[in-house]
Amino acid sequence: MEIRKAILTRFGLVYAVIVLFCIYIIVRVFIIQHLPRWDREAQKLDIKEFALAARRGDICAADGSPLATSVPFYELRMDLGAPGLSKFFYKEVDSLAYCLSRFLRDKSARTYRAELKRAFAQQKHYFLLTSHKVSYAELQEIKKFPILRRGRNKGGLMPEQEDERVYPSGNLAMRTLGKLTKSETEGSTGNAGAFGLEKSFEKELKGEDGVAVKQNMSGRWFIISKDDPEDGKNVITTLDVKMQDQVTYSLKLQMEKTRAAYGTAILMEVKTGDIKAIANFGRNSSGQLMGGYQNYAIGNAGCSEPGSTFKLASLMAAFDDGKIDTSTIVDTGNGLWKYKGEEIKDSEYKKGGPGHGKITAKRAFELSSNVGLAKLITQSYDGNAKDFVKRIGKLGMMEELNLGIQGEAKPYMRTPGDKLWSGVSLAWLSFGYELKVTPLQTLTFYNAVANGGTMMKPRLVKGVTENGTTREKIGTEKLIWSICSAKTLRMARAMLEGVVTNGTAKALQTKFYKIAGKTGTALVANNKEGYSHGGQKIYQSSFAGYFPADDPKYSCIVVINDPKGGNYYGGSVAGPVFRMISDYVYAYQLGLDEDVNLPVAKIENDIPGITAGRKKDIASVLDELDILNGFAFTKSDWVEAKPDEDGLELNNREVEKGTVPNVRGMGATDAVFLLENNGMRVSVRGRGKVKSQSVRAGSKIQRGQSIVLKLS
Amino acid sequence: MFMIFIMLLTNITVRYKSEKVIREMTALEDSLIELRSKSISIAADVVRLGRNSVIMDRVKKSGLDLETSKEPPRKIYVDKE
Repeated sequence: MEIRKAILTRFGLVYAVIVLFCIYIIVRVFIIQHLPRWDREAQKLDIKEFALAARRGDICAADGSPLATSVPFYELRMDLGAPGLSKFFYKEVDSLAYCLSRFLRDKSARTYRAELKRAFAQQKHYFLLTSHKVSYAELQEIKKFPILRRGRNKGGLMPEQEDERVYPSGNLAMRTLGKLTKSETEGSTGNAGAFGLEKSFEKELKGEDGVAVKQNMSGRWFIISKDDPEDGKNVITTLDVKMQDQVTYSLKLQMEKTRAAYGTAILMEVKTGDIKAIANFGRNSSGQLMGGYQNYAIGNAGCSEPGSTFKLASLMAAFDDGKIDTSTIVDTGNGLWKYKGEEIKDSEYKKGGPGHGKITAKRAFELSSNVGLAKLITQSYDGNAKDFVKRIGKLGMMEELNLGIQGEAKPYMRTPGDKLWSGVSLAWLSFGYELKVTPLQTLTFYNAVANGGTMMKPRLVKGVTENGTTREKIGTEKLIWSICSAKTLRMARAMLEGVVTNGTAKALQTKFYKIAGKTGTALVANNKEGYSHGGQKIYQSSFAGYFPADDPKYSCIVVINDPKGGNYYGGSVAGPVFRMISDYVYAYQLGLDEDVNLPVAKIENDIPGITAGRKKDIASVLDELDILNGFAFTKSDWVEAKPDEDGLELNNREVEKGTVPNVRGMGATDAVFLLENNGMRVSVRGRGKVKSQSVRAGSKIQRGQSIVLKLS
Repeated sequence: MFMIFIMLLTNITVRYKSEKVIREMTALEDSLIELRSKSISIAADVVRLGRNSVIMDRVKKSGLDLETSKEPPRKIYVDKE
C-alpha cells in the first residue's frame, strides 16, 4: 500500500506541475495576443506602410527628347554597423578614402579617412559620406570602390534615391519650361511647378503617389507595393532641341558682345505657328548674364514699344484702307519734321545733313524713316485716327494670345478717347510708340504676313502623352483667316524684302536664300524713369522677319535691349543674330530639300587639271563642262590631256597587252584598273596623280608581278 | 493524423513558395527601377551632349580646327550611263 501511495503522490505532483505549466502557457498566450502593447510592437516589426512617390512627367521637345526630366540622384549613405564590415574595414579604409576624395573632389583623403574611422567607432548605421548627390553613372563607379564593392551587407553602402529635376538642354527656354518649387510635401529640389509650363501643366505632370509596405519576412525586409504609383504624364512641346540650342547660342554670343541688358529670340514655323525655339537672357543685380532670368518674349518684362517693327502694320493699315500704296511719294526733307509743336526725327538725322528728300512709301519703309511714316499716316488718317486704330486691330496686331502660360502680358495701345491720347499720338503710333506689345505678338503678326495673311496662334504645347500614347492633343489654331487683302499682302512682302536687298538690313543678305524682315531701333521707356534713364537713353534693337522670302518656312524675331558700345541699330545688333539663326536652319533643314543653283566656275579661263585616264570618262567630264575636245581623232581607249593655248590637247596613251603600260599622270583608280587587268599586283602610296611607277613602262609583264605606284 | 501532417506540410511549403515569389518580385522590381534610372539618366545625357553648342565647345577645347558650316550641303547629280 505504501508503494501505491508513494506512486500516486508523485504522479499527482507531476500532474499538478504539468497543469500549472499549461495554465501558464495559456495565460501567456492570452497576454501576448490581447495586450495592446504587443500589437503595437508587432506592427512596428512586421509591416511598415509608406508612400511611393510618383515620378514626375517629362517636358519633351517635339521629337520626344527630354527638355525637363526627373533623373534619379543618390545620397551616399553607409551602414558602418553592417555585420560583414568589421573584418576588412581597417585594412581598406585608406584606399576607400583615397578613391572617394579623388572621385568626388570635395574633401581630402585624410578628412574622409578620419570621418569614416570616427563613424565606424561609433557604429553609425546611417552615415552620410558626402553632402554631394551623385548621378546614376557616378554611383556605378562608386560601387566599384574598396569596401563598397562588397554590397549592402558586407560593404554597408546604401544609396538613397531621390529624383531631381534636370534640364538636359541646359538653361535653354528655361523661363518657358519653368522650374519647380518646394510644395507642402518634402523634397529637396522641390516637386511642384513654380512657373512656366511646369506650373501650367502641374496637374498632368504630377502623377499620383502610391502606397507600399515594408514587410519583414524570414528576417529580411521587403518593399511590396500595395497601390502602384501613377507616374506623371509627359508634356510634348513644339520646341526643337537643335534649333533651340542654336537660337540660345546665337543670342548669347551677341548679348556678351554688346553687353546688353536683356535679349530674347523666338523662332516660329510659319504654317503652324509652332514655336520651335524661344530664348531669354537677362542680367541679375550684379550684372551677370543669366539664361531664363525673365520671360521677355511673353511676359510683362519684355512688353514694350515695338518701334520700327510696327511700321509694317501702320503701312499695311493705310494700304488696306486704300489711302496710299507703295509708290505714294512722301517728302522726308532733311529728316526733321516739326509736327504740332513736337519734333519727329529720322534715326540718322544730323543737323545740316542731306536727309532722304522725296521718296516713295516703300523706300521710306526700307530706310525706316520716322518722318516718312508719320507724314504718310497723319495725312491718310487726318481727323480719323479711330479708323487707323480699328484697322490695326483688324490686322491682328493687338490680339491677345492666351497661350496658357502664367504672366503673359496684354498688348496695349493708346486710342482716341484715352486720357493720354494727344494731338501727336497718331504720328507717334505710326512708327511704333504709344503702344506696348511683346516680341511674341510682333512675331505672330509677321508670321501672318509670311503665311499668306492667315494669323496662326503661337503653339508651344502639342499634346500630353502617357507611356507613349497620346492622351490629349492640342491642334494648331487660326486666329484670323485673313488679316488683309491679297494686294496689301503683296506690297507688304515686297517692302520687307526691300529692307534686306536695299534698306537698313542690307548686311543680312546671303546668296543661298532670301530673307525678308524689318529692323527696329526704339528708344524705350524705363519703367521708373521714363525715356531717359539717368540722363542716358535706352535703345532697343530688334529684327523681325521670315525666310526664305519666296516660300516662307520660318519666322523669327530678335530683340536686344540696351546694347552698349554706341551701336544700337536693329540692322547691326539684332540682325546678325537673326542671320546666324536663319543660316543654321537653312543649312541643316531647308537647304537639304532644295537644289541650290550656284554659278559654275567659269571654264573658258580656268580649265581644271585633268589626269590621264580612260577616254570615255574624260570625254563625259569635258562634255559636261562644255569644253571642246578632239577625241574623235584619238584611237586609243586611254588618253592624256595637256593644256595648250586653245584649251586642251589630247594625246594617245598606247596600251599594249602583255607590256607594262605607262600610268604616270593617271589617277589611282585608272592606274590600278589598268595594271590589275594585266595581272599585276599593285600597291599605292600617297594620293593624287601617279608620279612614278616601280616597273618601267614597256617591259614585259610576268603574271603576279608586283608594282609600287607613288602618288602626289 | 496523416492527413493533418500532409496539410501542415502543404501549408508550410506554400508559405515558403509565396515568400520566394515575393523575393523574386522585389528583386525584379528593383532591377526595373535600376534599369529605368539608367535609361532616364542616359537619355538626359544624350540630349545634353548632342547639343550643337556643347559639340562646338568640345571641338574648340580639343583644338580641332573646325567650325560650323553656314552653307547648306549640296547634292551632286551624276548621270547614270
